[in-house]
Amino acid sequence: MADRSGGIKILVVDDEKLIRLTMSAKLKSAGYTPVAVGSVEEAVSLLKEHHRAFSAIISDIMMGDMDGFVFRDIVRGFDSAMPFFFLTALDPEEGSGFLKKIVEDPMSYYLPKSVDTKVLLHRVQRIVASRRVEQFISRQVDEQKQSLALAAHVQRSMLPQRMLITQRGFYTTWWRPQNIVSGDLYEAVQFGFGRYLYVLGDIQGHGTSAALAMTAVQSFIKQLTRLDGVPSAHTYDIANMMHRFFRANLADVSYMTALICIHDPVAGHVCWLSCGAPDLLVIDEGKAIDPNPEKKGGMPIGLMPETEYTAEDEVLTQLSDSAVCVLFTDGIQDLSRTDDGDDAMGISDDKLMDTRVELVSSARSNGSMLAAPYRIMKALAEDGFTNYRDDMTTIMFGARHALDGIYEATVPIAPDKIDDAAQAAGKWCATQGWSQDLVERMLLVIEEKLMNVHDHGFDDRERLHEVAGMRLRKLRDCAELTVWECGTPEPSMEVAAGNADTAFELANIGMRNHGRGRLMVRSLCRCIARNRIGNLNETIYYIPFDGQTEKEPCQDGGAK
Amino acid sequence: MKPCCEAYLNEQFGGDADVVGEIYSEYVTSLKDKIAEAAAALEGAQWDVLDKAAHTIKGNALAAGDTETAEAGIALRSTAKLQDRDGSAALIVKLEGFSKEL
Repeated sequence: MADRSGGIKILVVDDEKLIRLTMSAKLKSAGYTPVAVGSVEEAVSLLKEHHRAFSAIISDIMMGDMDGFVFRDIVRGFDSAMPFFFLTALDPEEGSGFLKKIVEDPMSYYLPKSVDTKVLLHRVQRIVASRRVEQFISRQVDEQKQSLALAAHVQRSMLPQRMLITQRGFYTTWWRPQNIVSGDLYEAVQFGFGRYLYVLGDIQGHGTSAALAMTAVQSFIKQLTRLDGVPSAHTYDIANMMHRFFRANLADVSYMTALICIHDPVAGHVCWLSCGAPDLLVIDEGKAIDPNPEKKGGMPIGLMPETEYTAEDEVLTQLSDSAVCVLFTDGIQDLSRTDDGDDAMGISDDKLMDTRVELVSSARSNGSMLAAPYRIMKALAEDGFTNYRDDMTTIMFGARHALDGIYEATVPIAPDKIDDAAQAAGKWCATQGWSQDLVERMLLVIEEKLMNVHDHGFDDRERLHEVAGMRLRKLRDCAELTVWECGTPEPSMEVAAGNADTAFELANIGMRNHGRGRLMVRSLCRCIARNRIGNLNETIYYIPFDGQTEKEPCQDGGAK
Repeated sequence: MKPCCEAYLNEQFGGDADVVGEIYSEYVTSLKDKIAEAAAALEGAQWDVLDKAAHTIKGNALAAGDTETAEAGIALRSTAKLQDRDGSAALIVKLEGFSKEL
């Protein structure tokens, strides 16, 4: 018995020394390590520091300084599973009341004060063994979660930045693992003069094995795009290279679907090839266009050894300046309202298409394309589609579509880039005839906001790849600055509901020891609205033309 | 050592004379202290204090295998709850007698 219990600590709490002595002696005889204290205060102080070191607590109920049940409530505040053995003599008058209170908690047990040593040890041993198994499993799960979180970070760092606006085009992405790590991958890279290559891949299955394959393929694509001559390759050349890599390295493991696109905004077209993936979707002027009536395309990558992709598999689609191309993995088609496998609750193609067309068209017309994939997922979630049964990724890209009076840009989260971005925005404002005073106030808000995201939004590793999107435009009596970023939701998440102005005030109070920037920004703005769109933070600043910042109520979630 | 305590403690602690001796010694000391506390509480009509002292006497006696003292402790709790001065006094006298036998 002693061998099996060695080193297991049991906390004994009783204000009577005799009971501490007898319990300790009984526990020691079985090889446990009892730690006896005479008051709840001592016990709580010990547990707060070292509760994981104890496998169980044996406590009196009626103690001088505190009721044993109150003691249990305190412990439950930081340890919901610590086994509690209550010692009581069970007087007829109090007995039933005590028993009722003991059994209210699933991890509490009763022990008579005169408990026989063998009975005591039998009960303690049984419960403690169970607790230790649970602790072991819990530790394993925690370690696995930490390990997966690190793996997810590695995956995220291999992906290109979330969104980008260049002189000729833009792209924006939404990538969401079903469970921490993902089998989906995407690449977006400049590909020769003015062209961009987009690759969206979906490793068959999901979870750890798919995620490992994803990292291998993602690395390969990165290397591939850097090889001499590759920027003049066709989509099918790239597909063939990926296929050979997959067959040589991962064929025994899995296969993948992929959509490979080469976008040429100057020529106004996209060449694309589907390797078993959902076709490219083109949305233009409020309508969805089927760009592949002939149903061209090839087999999934890595599935069949003899697969050879050719020009016959490639589709050339002409695009207007306003067209938006949407790439997506098929995980989104598994989105459903419930987890019971009821297909009727799954999302329909029509619902998905209608939501996409409506929100993409609206975003294209008001210069908020960077947030469009996030808005679509939020709209679907608000409609009850929150059950993710697969990894999901969306890429949207298109030509730079200049909108009158609207400035759009993406900014890497780095101090020098932020400064550059603010200067570029300032130049644009000047071309629009904005007053110097307004431009200066606008630049202060931009710099303050983006530096705040830089300083508080990400840890050092994450920040390397992070980018913010912004949009400037003039409204009737004020200028509007919108910033989108995926930094930590605090305190934005806290103020996601209710009156934004009041909420911002509260955030300022909470942050009063963290610099004066927030108060300064607030003094420059008439009001500030915040939205949380999935994992994207949207902050909208309304900056008055005349510098008068008489406060007006401003609701979250909508432009003024 | 009171025979019932000796038998009980030896059984519980495998005849470990050191442990048995330490526990018994603590029992003797605590019983005397608690009886004195109970007597003082009765004198001052502090019924809650008397009840708590009786509760401790009962618990300690059970832990030491002294069943007759435990029974007297249980009875003393009842008289304390009823605020029965005479009954409580008689039980304290009885407990003092048990204490002297230790």
